[in-house]
Amino acid sequence: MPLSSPCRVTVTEESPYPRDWSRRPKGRIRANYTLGPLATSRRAEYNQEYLKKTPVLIKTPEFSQSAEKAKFKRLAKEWKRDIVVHSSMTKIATHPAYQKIIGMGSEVLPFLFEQLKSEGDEPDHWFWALAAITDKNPVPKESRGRINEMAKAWLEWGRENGYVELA
Amino acid sequence: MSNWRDWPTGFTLCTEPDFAHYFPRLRPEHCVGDLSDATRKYNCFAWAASVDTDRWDPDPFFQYFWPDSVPRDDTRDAFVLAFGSLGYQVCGNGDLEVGVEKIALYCLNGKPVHAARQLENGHWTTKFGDFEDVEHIDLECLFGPEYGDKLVYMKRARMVVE
Repeated sequence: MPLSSPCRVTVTEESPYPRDWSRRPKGRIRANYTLGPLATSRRAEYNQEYLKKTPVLIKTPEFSQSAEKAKFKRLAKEWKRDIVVHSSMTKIATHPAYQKIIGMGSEVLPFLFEQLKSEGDEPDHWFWALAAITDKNPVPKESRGRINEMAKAWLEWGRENGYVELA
Repeated sequence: MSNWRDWPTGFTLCTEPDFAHYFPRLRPEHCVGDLSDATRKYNCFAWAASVDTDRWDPDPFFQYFWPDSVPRDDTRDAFVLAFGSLGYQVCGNGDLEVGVEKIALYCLNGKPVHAARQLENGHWTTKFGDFEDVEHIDLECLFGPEYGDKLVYMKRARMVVE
C-alpha cells in the first residue's frame, strides 16, 4: 500500500463511501466510522513509516534564532555593499535590505545590538533601525549626530531592556 | 581606465568594486591634496559646514544633528534653511570669489544627497560616505548615478581662522 501524508488516510474497502459519489449514504456519518477500522488501526503505523522516510525540519527556538541571524547578516552585507558613497540617511535607510531588517521587527534587536557593540568607536548606521523598531529614542539632544555617544545611549537602553548582556 | 595606484594614497573608496559606476567622470587627476582618514563620525553635510565631530541629517527619529528651527525633511528647501541658519544664502554659481565661502548641494530627484565646500584655492572638499574626505578640482567630476547632476549653490562670508 503506498504511503501518503500522515494527515491523509487512503480510502480502503472498509470505507462506507462508494466509488460513485452520487450513491453516497445520506445523513451524518460518525467520524471514526468514515476512516474505517483498518485505516484507524494503521494510521499510527503510517505516520511512523512516513516520518522514517521523510526528513522533518523541526524549528526549535535555537534554529529559528540562527536562521534569523543569518538573514540579518545577509541583508546587512547587501545593504553595506550598496550604500558606500552615501551620507544621506534617507538614502541609507530606505535601501530595500535595510527596510527588510526593520521589517524583521523585535526579533532582530539582539543582533542589531550585538553588531553595534562589536563596532566599537565606529558604529554603523543602525540608529534609524533601532528607533524604528523600538519606537524609542534614548539619544539625548546634546548627543544627536555624535555616533559614539549615540551608540552608548542605545547600548545602555539595550542593557536596561535585556537585549545586551551586562559587561 | 585608471588603476588604483593612480589615485591618491589612502583613497580607499577607489578600491570599491562599483567605484567607476558610481563616479563615471572622476579621474585621479581630479583629486588633489591630502586625504582625511575614513570615518563615520561626520558626513558630507556636516563637512560642508566645516564640522568634523557630528553627522548632520534631518532623520525623522531625531538621532542625528539638525538645526532646531529647520523642518526634518530631506527636501532642498529644508537643506537650504539648515545651511541658511549658518549664514549661507543661495547664489547662482560656484565661481571663486575673494572673501566668500561657497557650498554646493548635489540633488538627485530634487533631494539633496551630497554636499561639497569650496576651499580658498577654488577647489572643493568632499566627504565620501563613510570614506575619506577628498579635495577635488571641480564639482562636475562627481556627477553620476549616485550624486546626480543638479547643484544648488550657497555662499557666505568666509570666516577668518586665526
